[in-house]
Amino acid sequence: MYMTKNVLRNLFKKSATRLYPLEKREIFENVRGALDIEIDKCIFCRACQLRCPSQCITVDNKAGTWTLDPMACVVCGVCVAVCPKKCLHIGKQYRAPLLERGLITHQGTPRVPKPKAAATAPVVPAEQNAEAEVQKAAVATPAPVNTEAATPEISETVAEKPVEADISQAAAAAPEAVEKPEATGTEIETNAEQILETPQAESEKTEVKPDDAEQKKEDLSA
Amino acid sequence: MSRTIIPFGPQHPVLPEPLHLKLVVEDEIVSEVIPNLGYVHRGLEMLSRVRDMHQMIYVVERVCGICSCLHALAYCHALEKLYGLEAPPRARYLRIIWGELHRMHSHLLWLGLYAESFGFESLFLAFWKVRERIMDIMEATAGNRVVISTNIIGGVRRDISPENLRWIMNEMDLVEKEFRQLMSTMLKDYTVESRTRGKGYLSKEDAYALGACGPTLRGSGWAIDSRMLEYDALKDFSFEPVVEHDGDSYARGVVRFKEVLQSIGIVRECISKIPDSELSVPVKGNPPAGEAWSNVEQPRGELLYYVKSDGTKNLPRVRIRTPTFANIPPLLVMLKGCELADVPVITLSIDPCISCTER
Ligand code: SF4
Ligand code: SF4
Repeated sequence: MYMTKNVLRNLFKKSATRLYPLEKREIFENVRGALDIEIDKCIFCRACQLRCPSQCITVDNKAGTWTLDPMACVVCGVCVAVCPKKCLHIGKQYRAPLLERGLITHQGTPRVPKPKAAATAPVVPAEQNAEAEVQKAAVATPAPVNTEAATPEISETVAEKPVEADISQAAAAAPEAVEKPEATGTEIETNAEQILETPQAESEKTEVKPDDAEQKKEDLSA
Repeated sequence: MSRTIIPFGPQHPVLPEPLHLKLVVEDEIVSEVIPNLGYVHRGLEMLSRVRDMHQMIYVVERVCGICSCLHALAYCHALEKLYGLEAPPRARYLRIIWGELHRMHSHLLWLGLYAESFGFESLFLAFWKVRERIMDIMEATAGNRVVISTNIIGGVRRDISPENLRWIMNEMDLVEKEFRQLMSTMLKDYTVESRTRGKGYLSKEDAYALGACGPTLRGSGWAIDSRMLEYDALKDFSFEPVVEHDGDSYARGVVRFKEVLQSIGIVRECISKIPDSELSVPVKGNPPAGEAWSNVEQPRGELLYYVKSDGTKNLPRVRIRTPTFANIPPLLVMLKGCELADVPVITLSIDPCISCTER
């Protein structure tokens, strides 16, 4: 009985499926489509890189680049939640299929001022603010974050600053330093090593090693 | 009579995942079954030593591609026990809503695949058409269709707005209406019954002794369900597991069919009673050293998580016992003595999830 009714209904009803590429469904509100960054706001604090579960973000604070492996990103939104400057966003539109794997690199302005630029009046306060914010942001990392991941980073960034300043002073006169920020836009590179050697893995190595022997013992006894 | 060994899987049209069974066949009758696992081992448990415990939520969600939400839930429960936390009331309700939606879509997926395993392709599509409504709810509320990533330690990350809750109520009515229309076909049709009744019999004693769980166990007459432990919001409702006594593939199908209706009821009840509160409690620092375990009813049965902490941000050990792992010994008993043509139906009747089993 259901069969007859069903056959009649299906004859006159619109089909349940869509002719996909021609007819697209409206995207729901709140859908996690693809990750995007407003690179101008980014302060290269690396909070996103450290917290990302799939380790697909690489932040280079010296060169001022923010690199994403779009194939490895699982669009979980953790980086969006931890970013102190709120410069990461998840858009509704899913990423289109790609033919080959590659990295998306965004080039921003590195936060350490060059002495020449520092001499010109308007740049100095902005850059100093940025630095102050890094420290603030690093200290006031959101609550659910565990502190061990963050603390080595803070000490690193703090320790790095004078060194970087020295380097940039020395290199300020050299024209190479000027070239870097010009390479804006997205570049596609294919070096996976960059991703594998994230600083987190380094910090992990030092942390995990002493425990390893214990763990092995436990494993054997288990 | 000569014996022949026929490999079933890892690649077989009826199997959604790479399970390999060596069937020792005598004249069309299976006399012995030798399982061979290990095709999709990914070492996810090991990752807990290099990813911190918050990142592990997203790793454990990927243990299973169908009931991902419940894996995260069990993991979060275990860590909440370690921290001595409890999720706020609204989070507890939202967790159950998403969990039951996952159960529904998993059972609907299985009912479809099951229909396909005995060659009933139009029924397969009819079930998947109903399932699509649930996938839409998931996408609209959590932002993703399957791996919804809403659970965190101490609560949930997303809220469902009141309009969306009303919309889900509406959708539940439609899902129930469309699903009930398929009831007579799934449960009373001659072709379905002749392919499933009496196939893969598992006696009540065997089911318990071999450690079966989930619908496989309940199809053999045991009223055992982890939801009776009343985790999260379930303690506010009365919960009665669905039980069938026949112990054959048909009974296991009926259990799953009725569980979908039961889940619809639980979702409705949760939505009508959902309280207002914050969504998560803050989690500070590393967990204290110690061990904890938790269990949650996954669509396929009882899911067990054991975590061990040494006071650092990494967990030295995470052990996941998945329901399919427990259901493989009963499967070997069910398959003994069956006809070769019934092997696909019986294998699917335990709802095998091999990616879960091998992690
Ligand atoms: S967390 Fe935000 S500000 Fe920090 S590096 Fe990442 S994108 Fe830039
Ligand atoms: S969305 Fe998730 S996976 Fe993607 S970059 Fe951000 S944290 Fe990493």
